[in-house]
Amino acid sequence: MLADLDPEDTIAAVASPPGPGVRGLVRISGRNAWRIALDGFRSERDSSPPRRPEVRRGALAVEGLRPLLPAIVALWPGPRTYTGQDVAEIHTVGALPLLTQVLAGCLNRGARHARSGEFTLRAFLSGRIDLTRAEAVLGVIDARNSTQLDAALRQLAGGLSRPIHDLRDRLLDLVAHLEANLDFADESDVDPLGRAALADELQSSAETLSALTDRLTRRDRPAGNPRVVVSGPPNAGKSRLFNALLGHDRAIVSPRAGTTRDYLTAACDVGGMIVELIDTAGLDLPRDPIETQAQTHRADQAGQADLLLVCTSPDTLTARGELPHLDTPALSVWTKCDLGRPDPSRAAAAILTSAATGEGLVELRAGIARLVRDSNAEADLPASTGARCRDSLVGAKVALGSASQTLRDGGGEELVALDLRLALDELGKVVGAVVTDDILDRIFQRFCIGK
Amino acid sequence: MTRKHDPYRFDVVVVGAGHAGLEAALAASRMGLGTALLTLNCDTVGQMSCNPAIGGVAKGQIVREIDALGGAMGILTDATAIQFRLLNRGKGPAMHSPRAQCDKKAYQFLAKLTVERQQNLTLRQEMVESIEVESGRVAGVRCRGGIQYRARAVVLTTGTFLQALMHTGEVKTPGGRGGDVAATGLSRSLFELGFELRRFKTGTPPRLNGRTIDFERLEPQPGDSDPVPFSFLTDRITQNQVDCHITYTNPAVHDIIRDNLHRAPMYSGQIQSTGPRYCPSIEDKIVRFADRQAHQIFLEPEGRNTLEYYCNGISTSLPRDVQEAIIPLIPGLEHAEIMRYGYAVEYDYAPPEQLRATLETKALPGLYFAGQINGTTGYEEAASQGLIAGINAALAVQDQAPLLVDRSQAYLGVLIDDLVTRGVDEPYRMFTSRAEYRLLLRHDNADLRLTELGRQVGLVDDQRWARFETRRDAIARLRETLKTTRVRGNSLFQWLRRPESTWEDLLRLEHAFDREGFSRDVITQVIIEAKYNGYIGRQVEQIERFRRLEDKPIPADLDYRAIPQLRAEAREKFERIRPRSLGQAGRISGISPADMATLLIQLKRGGSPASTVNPLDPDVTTPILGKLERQSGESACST
Repeated sequence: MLADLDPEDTIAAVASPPGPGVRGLVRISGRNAWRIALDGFRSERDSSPPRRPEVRRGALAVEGLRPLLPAIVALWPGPRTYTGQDVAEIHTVGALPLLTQVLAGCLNRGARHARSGEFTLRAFLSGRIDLTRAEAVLGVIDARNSTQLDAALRQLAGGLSRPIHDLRDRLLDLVAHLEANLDFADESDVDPLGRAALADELQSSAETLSALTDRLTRRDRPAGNPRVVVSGPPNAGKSRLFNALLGHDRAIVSPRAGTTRDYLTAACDVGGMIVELIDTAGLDLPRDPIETQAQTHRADQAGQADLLLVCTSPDTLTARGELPHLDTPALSVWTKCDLGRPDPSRAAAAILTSAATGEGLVELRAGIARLVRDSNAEADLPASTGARCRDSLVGAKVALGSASQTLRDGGGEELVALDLRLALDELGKVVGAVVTDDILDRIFQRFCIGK
Repeated sequence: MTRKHDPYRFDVVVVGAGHAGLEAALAASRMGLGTALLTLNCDTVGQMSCNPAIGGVAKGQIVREIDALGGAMGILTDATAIQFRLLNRGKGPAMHSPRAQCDKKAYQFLAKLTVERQQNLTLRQEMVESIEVESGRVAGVRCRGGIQYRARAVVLTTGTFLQALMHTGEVKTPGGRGGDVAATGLSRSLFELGFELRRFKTGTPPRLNGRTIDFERLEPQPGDSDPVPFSFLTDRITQNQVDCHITYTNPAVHDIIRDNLHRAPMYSGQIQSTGPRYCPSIEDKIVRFADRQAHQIFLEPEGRNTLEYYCNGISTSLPRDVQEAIIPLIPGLEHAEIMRYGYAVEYDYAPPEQLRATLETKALPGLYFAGQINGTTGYEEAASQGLIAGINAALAVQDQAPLLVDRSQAYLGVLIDDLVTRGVDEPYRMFTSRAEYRLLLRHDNADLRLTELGRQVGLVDDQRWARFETRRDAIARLRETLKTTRVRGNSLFQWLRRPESTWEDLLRLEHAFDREGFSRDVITQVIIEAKYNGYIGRQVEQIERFRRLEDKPIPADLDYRAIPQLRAEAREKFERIRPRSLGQAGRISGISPADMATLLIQLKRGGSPASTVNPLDPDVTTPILGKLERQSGESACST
């Protein structure tokens, strides 16, 4: 865990703002920043290190992409840089999937994914910024630290948290079994773990990891747009509001409660920023399997939201609005204000709207844009959070592959255990670190140890 | 330094002459300091209170480390062991672990003789009752009868004796070991000085008379035919070896134990303190693994000149009548006579976060704790702490820099770091899985890792040093030869690295290379290096990362309360542990990366003031980037 903050490591991250933009960039800082930026970069200049700040134009080879990507690499020699170290930036097309690939290339070449706030931390450590600014960033790291994991998985990998936990559990059992055989050879009745069984278990864990990585990739929002989920009790006018914000009828609307069963998504422009607007079924107790499924979709979507629009209408006053998901910013929206207006004392901070008259839609768009911007400024970039999860899964898979190879080469259990623990360390970055005590706990639970 | 004519004035006083005290006293006196070793009973120096074995997985490696530093345990074991086994032979070399059955009395007598022969060392029978303090430093100890010893450093190695209470069923007897008394005054003194004390529990099994055991019915467990010695000074083991024997419990035994659980002090509530999970009593095993039909019992001889046998595997605090009822139900023990009944013992320990990595207490300069008082179990764990405490006490008296052994250098480094950084919640025993760099922390290379350190502090004598240099140089020469001799494009070292190739293959491959003068252990060492090569490389890289943070010191007087951004939990932990480096701070349980970032920032703030030059500040870079964009025009958007 601590090694992740080592100021000597070379770190990299996508550093352009979220959402589509014309230009995006990946920033790298540390001893190997230049080499990592220039590997795979073709330019007329040779790839010799610069003596002063320098900009090179050229093209970048990106894995999984046939044509070279036009790019600019900017190089700054330390210590007169923001972080006090050698810094490089790769500027290229602003599409998030591309930037993610560029970043992945940097990580493959030996960079470590920067933690949030880490560039700023280095800037402070090298005396480049003052304490006040460093502390502001620290506040962000701090606030995010406890919830980072949950948030990341919720945002990008809803439903992945459980299987990753399960996989970690399996690997932990495997390590505990190996270690029990190593540490308690002469004083327990630990059954030896056959090499064939071990190989099978490694293979099946690696397959699970691949499947998880694929799911994570699919879940990753292609455009990286913030998700705004319309929620509230049935018949609160959510779908009507959804259509009104889009400016055209996308969702079927009817006066009947419970018309929306599935969820709908559409890109929506809110004052120069594109968000993904999601309409969901009303929050209700399900009465049949279709409704159960509708509620599951709803909860999933709400769980992955960057912003919730919690709708209340005059005719659904008695229904309880959905409590915003923990840590998810929310806007209170009154709908159908043409039918009646709320008591000002109840709706002081709410935005009053009417899909019929168009009232309040401008304010609502502005409110959405403001909150999404705020939460993105505070939060990690969604892209880099997803990439970080994926890095860890890929890292774990590489370690498992190496364990299998060791086994095939006839290597000992102590060597297999080394790789397995590496895999656990990687998964630990996503779902909580494993320490020696966890392994020992399992050994003592499962095996009767001790003469 | 010592005024020889005053029989109560010493440089270093060591309290307790068990495995920790022995090493501490021998180390301090060998380093030239006037040392007193005070024990409750001069006849029990180096006594093995529990089982008659030294070593085992991870523990055997520790004994080799003690020996490599110039300690006594390896030599004592080689001289007095009656059976040697290298455990985990079927696994990789990092897992190979020497273990020996010792003749308990022979071990103890040789330990006593070693102490008696040692110059600068005074062995004396005393019951220490309090620690003497003058102007904030330790000044000596006061013994029963008011006798005062003056010393500049005091090492406490009280084992299980502090307020010790033994339990056999409902019967409670004060005492730290069957037949011995408890130390009663010292706990109060420590408490009054402000040390926190807590209680642990450990247990022993019954001992039987071998004349009454039917060995014909039991499975023998012989020693190795090629015994591996513990000490780097021992060329070969020549003594005859004796067998251990194995038998098993059965459901009839389990039934009796189950019926009498309410009379076991651990279950009746008579004992509240925590015992070790890896050394459970037989009643624990039966409760926690209810579906098992049998548990192994190792019958270990206690010596050559006794018929007493130690029943390893059925440690118990059940009442005598229950012990008498279960023994005859065990195959081979139908007519066995119990000589000593099993018992559990409860004792005080001092949570080890109160120590520095030198094993000096943070609260009282000059006072050191080693062994079971720190919440550990095991002769080997105790001895290694005694050695480090003794060395550091001596170095401190001599105004020398302390000896700090880190996690990448030795198991004993892992042990001490775990103790002072993470504390203990059950009696601490070493396992190889506790060591991050265990491929490097092998029994075969303990001398290569530590003997130079031992030499630097003055504990490795000329004889040991000469042997070490010869071996080290031979290994280097052979490694060099193999790396520079090429056959069909590959060096011999590369050939050796292949999983399938053996040393004999190598000899066939290249007859020309000079293999004269390379002893078996030198060859083995190079083979291990070759076979583990890639993995060792990886561990060396990990160690470099580890060292970078280990080398970043945190001032001892850092005021954590003055860092408002620290979470309360982190502040409390930093205050308590007072980590000496960033590396250690990060290993404290419950410390998050954010806490570390806060600490990094605080350390920087304490250093040089922040500069205002900021070439890559967003405010400065934006114009540069704007320029970039203009330069790049549309080219970057054409995909």
